Amino acid sequence: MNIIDVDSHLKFFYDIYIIFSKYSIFKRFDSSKNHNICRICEKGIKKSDFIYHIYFCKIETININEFKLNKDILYKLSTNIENIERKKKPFSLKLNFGQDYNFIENEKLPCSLYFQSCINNDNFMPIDSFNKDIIKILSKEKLTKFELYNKIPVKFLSIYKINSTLIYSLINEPNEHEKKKILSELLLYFINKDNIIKEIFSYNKMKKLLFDSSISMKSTDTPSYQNNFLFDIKSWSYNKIFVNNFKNVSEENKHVEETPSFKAFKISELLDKVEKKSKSSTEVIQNYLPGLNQETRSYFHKERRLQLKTTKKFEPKRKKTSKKFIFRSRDNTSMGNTTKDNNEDRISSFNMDEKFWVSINCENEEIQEKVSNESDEESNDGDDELAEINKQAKNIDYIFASVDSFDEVVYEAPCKKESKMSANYVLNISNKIDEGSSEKDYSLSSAQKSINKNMHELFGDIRINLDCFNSKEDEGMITESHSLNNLGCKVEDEFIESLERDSNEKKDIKLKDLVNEMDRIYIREEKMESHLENQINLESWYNEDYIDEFSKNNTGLKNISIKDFEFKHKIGSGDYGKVDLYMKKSTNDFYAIKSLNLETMV
Amino acid sequence: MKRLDKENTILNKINHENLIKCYLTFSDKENFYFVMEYLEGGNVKTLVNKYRLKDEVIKLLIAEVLLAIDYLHNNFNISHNDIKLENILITRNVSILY
Repeated sequence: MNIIDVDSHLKFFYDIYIIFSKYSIFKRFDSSKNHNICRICEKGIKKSDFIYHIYFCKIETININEFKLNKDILYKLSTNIENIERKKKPFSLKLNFGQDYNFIENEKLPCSLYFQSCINNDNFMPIDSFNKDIIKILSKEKLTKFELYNKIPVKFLSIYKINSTLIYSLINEPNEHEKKKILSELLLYFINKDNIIKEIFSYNKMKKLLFDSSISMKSTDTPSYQNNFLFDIKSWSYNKIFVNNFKNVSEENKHVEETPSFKAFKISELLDKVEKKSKSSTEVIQNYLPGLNQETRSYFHKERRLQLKTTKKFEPKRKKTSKKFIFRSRDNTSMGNTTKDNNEDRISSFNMDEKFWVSINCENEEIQEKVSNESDEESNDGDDELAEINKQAKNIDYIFASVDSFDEVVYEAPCKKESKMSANYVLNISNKIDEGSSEKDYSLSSAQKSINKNMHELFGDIRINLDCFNSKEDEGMITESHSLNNLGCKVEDEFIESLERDSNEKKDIKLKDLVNEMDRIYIREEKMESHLENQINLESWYNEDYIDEFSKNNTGLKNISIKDFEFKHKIGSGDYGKVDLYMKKSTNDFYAIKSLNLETMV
Repeated sequence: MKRLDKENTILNKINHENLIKCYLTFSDKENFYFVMEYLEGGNVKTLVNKYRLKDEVIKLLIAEVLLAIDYLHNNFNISHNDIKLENILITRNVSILY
């Protein structure tokens, strides 16, 4: 068996990328969405850059429909793939790349591209005669395209090559027991050839792709994350993990009984379970929750709540029972059996790969058990899902929530402090100063220190004047204190009294100056406020890159108000204001809207 | 109001994959609104609380944050001053991470 290497994938995609860059396909895309790709195409490619951009989610949305426009490029691409096959043989190309799959005009494509083009293409019909037969059979039932993909053909697109007669008989047979038998025979056939793992995994992968894409096609016309190279790369890497795990388990013969008939029987049962699962939409959605859109997710939650409400009344709460679980680590070592009491700790200590793998794969019995138990736990929790969602929504903060903090750096401080100042502040300060002058123990230096503190807190303009004022006086005080130390104790009182008289006289003068300055600032502040009130009606602007998203229904960019949006729920709040989630009524798109109170800002 | 003006101008100019997009702004008599991209993935903090992240993923996240910061520093001379897990949001592709 050929084990797939990630490096070989990277080599392959690097070659594809060079072809793309030569023919400048990427210039067709929006510069906003694929900014980095355009940038690299302009500068030229390094291999490290390319690998970086694969790993770091830079290549995300690429429409296959746009590839169709350049058929010459596709042809050259396919020829290049063939060359790679012949020369390097990086991995088993039979599964992932369509040597045998024909494109509409006999253009050979990689398999993933092929399937994705099938999703986007309405006129898709497979060319092979056997597939035509299948579709004829299925078309009698008048299935939709999605159901058609979900039921049979994708499953057997990869399998039929090896033994077509068995599958053909399987479709035509009405008895379920015989179907199982035939399936088991088929599976035995695959197990002997060590192909079953790949087949099943490719089936799961394609099914997931088709399922998600069908949902996304219904809900939104925008390209979803399924149409990207990254997803394929990730899934292939997981494929490697899966292969390794299975291989080692079969070598150890410890955790799985290895007789092929038993294995085949087990897998046939699992396939039935998968088919059952595909019929009930909620469970499938549960498995694919993280990749879904908001609408479907909310729909799922509503449905789930209804179910819980209906079921909870009649069914008593389930008691926790200890069940055995078998976990396989990524390092090909069995984790052993664990009881349910330790289960939570196990799950938390899982690697992410396994978690992802679990979310994809429904066919392993152990994982099914685990998923079902998790769902049971959730159902025991009951209506707390709402609370959890609200918690998550509360935890979401906005990146630009920190705008306030960096404004302190960018903007000048006095602007902010002047805006805070009001008449009350001024009155309080003047009162404090008057009270201070009436007190007996009130020395000049302490009084000015307190004044300085107040002024320092409030505004910076006067602080400068006061500092100049203080510095002169402090020098005077220091010299006087030196002179006091030189004199005797008797003389000290006289000196102090004289100093206090002088200081009171000085203070009155200073207070008058201060009050005058206050009045000036107060007047200035009033002017500022009036000026700011004129500025409140800011002109709204818009990004030119996103005009198309808002001008779909010609609502007019300048006339947009909140009435065009529906309030959904609160995301976060803080000193900066609040961030809420809104849905636009015309397009049903979701936006996070940050709203700032103008009064509080002023 | 100067703040709002400056925030407007900054957000209008920003165009980077690792930074949230602001589509448009408008104002009423009471409030001033920024219409922004909605990211369904949520915080990194919630993700860290739930799952144990691998080193590779952490490197990935840090690298993306650094790209964003680099973009802000070079083009706008802005210091963020409040980078924390709560302020790092994730897009829809969360299922890849864990």
